[in-house]
Amino acid sequence: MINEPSNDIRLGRRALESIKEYTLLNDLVYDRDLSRWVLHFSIRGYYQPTDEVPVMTNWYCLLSNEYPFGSIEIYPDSLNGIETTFQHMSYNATSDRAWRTGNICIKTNLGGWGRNLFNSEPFTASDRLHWNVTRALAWVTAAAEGHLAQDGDPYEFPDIPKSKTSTFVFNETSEGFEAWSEIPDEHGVFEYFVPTLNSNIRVIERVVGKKVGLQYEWGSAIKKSTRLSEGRGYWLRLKSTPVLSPWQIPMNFSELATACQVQGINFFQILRENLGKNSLTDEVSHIALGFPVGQYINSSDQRMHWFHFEWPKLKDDIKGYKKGTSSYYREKVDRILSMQVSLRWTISENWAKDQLTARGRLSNGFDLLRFCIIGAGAIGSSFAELLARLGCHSITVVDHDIVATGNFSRHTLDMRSCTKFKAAELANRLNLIFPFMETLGKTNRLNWVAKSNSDFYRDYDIFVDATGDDGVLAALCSNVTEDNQLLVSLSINVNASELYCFLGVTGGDDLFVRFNELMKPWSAKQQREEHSPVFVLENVGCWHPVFPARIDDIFGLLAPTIRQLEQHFIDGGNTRLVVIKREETGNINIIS
Amino acid sequence: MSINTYFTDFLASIRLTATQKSESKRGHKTLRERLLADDDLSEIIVSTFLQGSYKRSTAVRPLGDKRADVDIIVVTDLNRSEVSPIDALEMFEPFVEKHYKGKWERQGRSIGISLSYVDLDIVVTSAPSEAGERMMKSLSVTTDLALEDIVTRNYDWRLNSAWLEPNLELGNSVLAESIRSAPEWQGEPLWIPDRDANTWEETHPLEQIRWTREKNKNTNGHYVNVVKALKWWRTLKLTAIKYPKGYPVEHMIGDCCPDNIESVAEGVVATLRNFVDNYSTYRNNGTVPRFPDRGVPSHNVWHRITFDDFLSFYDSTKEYCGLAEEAFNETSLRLQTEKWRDIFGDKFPFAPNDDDSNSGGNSSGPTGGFTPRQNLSEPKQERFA
Repeated sequence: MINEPSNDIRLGRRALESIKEYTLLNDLVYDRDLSRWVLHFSIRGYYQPTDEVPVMTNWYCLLSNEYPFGSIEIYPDSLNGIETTFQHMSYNATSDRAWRTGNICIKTNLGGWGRNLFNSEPFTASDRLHWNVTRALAWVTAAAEGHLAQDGDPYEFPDIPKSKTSTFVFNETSEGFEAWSEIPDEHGVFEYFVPTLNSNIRVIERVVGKKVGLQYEWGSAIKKSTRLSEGRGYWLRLKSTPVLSPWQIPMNFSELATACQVQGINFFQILRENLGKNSLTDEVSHIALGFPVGQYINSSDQRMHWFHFEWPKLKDDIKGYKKGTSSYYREKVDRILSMQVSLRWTISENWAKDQLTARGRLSNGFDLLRFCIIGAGAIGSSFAELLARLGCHSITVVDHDIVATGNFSRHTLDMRSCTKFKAAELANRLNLIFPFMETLGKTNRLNWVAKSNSDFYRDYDIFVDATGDDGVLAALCSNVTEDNQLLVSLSINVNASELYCFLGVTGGDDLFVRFNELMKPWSAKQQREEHSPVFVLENVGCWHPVFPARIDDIFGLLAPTIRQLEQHFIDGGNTRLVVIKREETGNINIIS
Repeated sequence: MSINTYFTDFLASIRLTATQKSESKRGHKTLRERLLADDDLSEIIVSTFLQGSYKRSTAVRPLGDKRADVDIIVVTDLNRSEVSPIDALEMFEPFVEKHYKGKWERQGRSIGISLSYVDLDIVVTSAPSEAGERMMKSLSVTTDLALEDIVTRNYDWRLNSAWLEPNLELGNSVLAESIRSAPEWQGEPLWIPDRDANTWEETHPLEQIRWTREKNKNTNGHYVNVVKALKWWRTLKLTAIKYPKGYPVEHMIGDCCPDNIESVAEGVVATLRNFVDNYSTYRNNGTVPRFPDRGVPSHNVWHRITFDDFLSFYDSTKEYCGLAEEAFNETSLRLQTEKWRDIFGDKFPFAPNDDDSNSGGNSSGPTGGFTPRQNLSEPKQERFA
């Protein structure tokens, strides 16, 4: 049972005494339900007070018992605190506690107001709470002076308390926004479906108006997925983010109407006239609000974003109106719009490629190249995985082999794929990574695939040989001859201490000859040092030898090849061999 | 500057430990159960209760290896005109020999028992009046809880028959208005053996508890903490001075501490200043001030203090009074904590240096904690996965 604050917590809150603007109101009390220490304090600002931000504001700080680790949250006091919702703040409503729900977001270093202040959050007992309270003071000051969000700051959506986990997904790009500027429609119907591959997602397919029909492009996995259900919604186009000043998401119809009114849009009228004229009001499950956003506030690169909320259903049918008439539907819409309910917002995400690969992606344009990977074994599968997660959406995998469980010690597939074909299974796996993936699997040997498609050797920008087979490499060298194509061969030595990354630039020397020349010193060395390589047998009763490389070695040697390719894409260069070598010390050297 | 949280944490480190408190309660509970189960003694025992600084929440941790001391009153129905104090105490010796063999000894007016973490002092009383007996048996007297445990915003201790203990587990007990407003017993002094167990003399522990409760209310809850802080100072710093100590010091603080103080720091400074001012005449005249006991005004709590004792105590107090005033008026947080540490020792926490605190807090200028930093603190290792 926790009775007393730890020494670290005591130290942390003693440190606050040095902040002149800070006054302790109530010392630490342990809240058993929340498992948090609660500190009640006030802050005095030096700004001009506004209606929303008085000079003295009161706050509750909730500390985890693991301080200086664990969470620290700061909420406005219900009685003498901030009552409106600002930027960088959770939706600020009353709660059943002494504080409101508007947790202030003070950890970011982004944006003008955040950048002015020192360094990132410290995690020592004496500093962490002090840092947070000082930031709170900066936040309050910025709120009062109106620069919590300024032009050039990264744009942040208002916090939306969401009641469901189901997610609407759409695909809006900057290019798509240009198309939107040509579209005159302000409202209309949208269509979506729930794919079998994930029942929590609602994929929007079409956005339709009187004059426009817009279809989102989706990758293989989503296009080919079977559907659990389909649905329709009604969309409205707004000029900007629908908020109540300063930054509160509307939580009922009346607030939403006000937020639209500010933009000169009559929300009630649009819905009444369009949902209220026929059975659309019964068919529509959600309302979508679309508005332009840019990565930075008031920046020029804009795209459409959508918020969605459930279109409520009346509990009982209405009486006194003839079913099926427009006055019947009109009355329905009127009743729904006058319901005193909270809007049930869903999660809405833009699944455009550049939005999904923000965490790690390649230089511009490299991800647009068309890849063909021959060989879906240890090297091929790992390499394909790296490319896909970096955003390369166009990959074709060629392999005739079948998946065996023994492969899994160094493969990306799993037991679900056993006895199936590697190429097809790998393509499926890659397609499920991102909604924009267009991966194909060709289950056959290379020469057969090439025979059945006369354009095959011209259809790709980069061919990657991941077979370790001279015959395959020779065939590629002879046939990949267009300008600006790249031929890559990846292979490792028997104990995976060296990876040979051959980059063959087309339009010059015979690449196969070049490859052998460049490999000669390495082959010779291998002969000298490992003339009796040790193979292992696959399993009892099987005479098929397999090379004993480990997955950690393969990953370690393979990863640097991506940068080699990327660099080549940016800088160009001649045909060359890059060897990635693991020393006995474990150091990885890149020798080119 | 009152730097309340520094005092809060200092007090947390000098009050009785959780173990000492729970051992005190356990020791008392076991003793009481054994007494009431004893064939001979159960006949004469009216009730038992904890008294003293533990009960009043003015106890501090003993220094070093010493164990905490807890006084237990055993109220008997022995007629004080028929039984002498010595005989009364002797009646308990077979009992303690049986249950606490090797751990007890006679100490003048009481029997001392050494447990693992605490020392129990059994003080035996003679019979109270009939009304007194009823009061002695009530929960408001026999409860093991200390004042600080009981008195909160919603709860209080009341010396009446209706009083109930608060539920400390849930922590949300509210004292019913009927209990709060019910009249309290007047109470009467108890008769205990004098120091050498020659005669019976009066004492009024319940009145002392009640007085403390009221004083604490009048000082915004700071009084018991002022007592703890100053008792700590006295034990730590006035090592060459034997008396006064213990309850006489507490009593003096009670008389000198003003009402309506806003912080412990203010209380400490004001108490020392009042002592120095109020008793300067006594010092100059060569006499020792008199402190009438709460509830037994004929009894002078300072009756054992000689003038030499008083002189040494007064002069030391005057010196520390100056230090306390300096500390209280100090504007630099760091220097202030240094000065308090001169008085209270190193259990009083240090503040970081004003100019190299990691958080950029400056003590000058209105934008104290707001100034953009000049120096970067140790860069934290950024790690991701």
